[in-house]
Amino acid sequence: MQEFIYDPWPWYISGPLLTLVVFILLYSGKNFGLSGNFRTMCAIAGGSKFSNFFQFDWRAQKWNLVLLFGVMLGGFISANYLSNGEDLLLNPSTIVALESMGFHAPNGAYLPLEIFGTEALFSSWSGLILLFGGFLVGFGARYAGGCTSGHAISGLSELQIPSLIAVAGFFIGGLLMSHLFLPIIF
Amino acid sequence: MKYIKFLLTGVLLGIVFSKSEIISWYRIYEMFRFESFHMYGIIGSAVILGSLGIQFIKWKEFKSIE
Repeated sequence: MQEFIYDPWPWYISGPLLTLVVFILLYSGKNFGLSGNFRTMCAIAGGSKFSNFFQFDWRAQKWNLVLLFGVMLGGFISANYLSNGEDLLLNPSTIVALESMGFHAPNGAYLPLEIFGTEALFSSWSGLILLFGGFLVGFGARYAGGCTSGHAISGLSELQIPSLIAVAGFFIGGLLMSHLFLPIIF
Repeated sequence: MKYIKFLLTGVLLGIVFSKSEIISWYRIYEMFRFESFHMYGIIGSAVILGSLGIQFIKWKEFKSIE
């Protein structure tokens, strides 16, 4: 039991737990989707002065901000109290591909310091890439009306064709980035 | 107080995201290189179970109208 808590969870545990979350929210009359919070935060910050897109009743979306805060809290609990701090067991050929771009093996981290570390953040080239990436995430998630959680998990579960198109788009984008752009940028 | 269930649901979600390494940049990169089943298993099982559950709810609602 103890090993189960501290070891990484296999897909057949996590997938059904994600479904459980979708149904807890559906039971409360809510749709699972995290990036809607971008719009809510912009509306709270006074975005309605600049665009009609932010003129909506954001108070009705407070539950989603609470959910997002819970996600961060859960991540903190998991990283500090439920983890054995062992390295990710990546496919060896993935590690070879990473090394060919000058990236180190994970070493217990979830994000490569080469892109997300403090040093990279303050070097102008990596800093600009992060800024541009953040812009694309914010723009794309709103333009498509959702991100991976809303379209891939909720939307596909509801057999929505627009979500299927969005997920195909995410996937093509990810393939292009991983195979074409990432080796050029780094 | 009515928000507490959303906080707890969020905590569960955060633990799942973190414990199953879904939020790992490395796992996502590995997925796009088709070198692991892990992410496909998570998304696939979540979507299949979710769509079955939603079809079941619709079927029950249909029955209750009849």
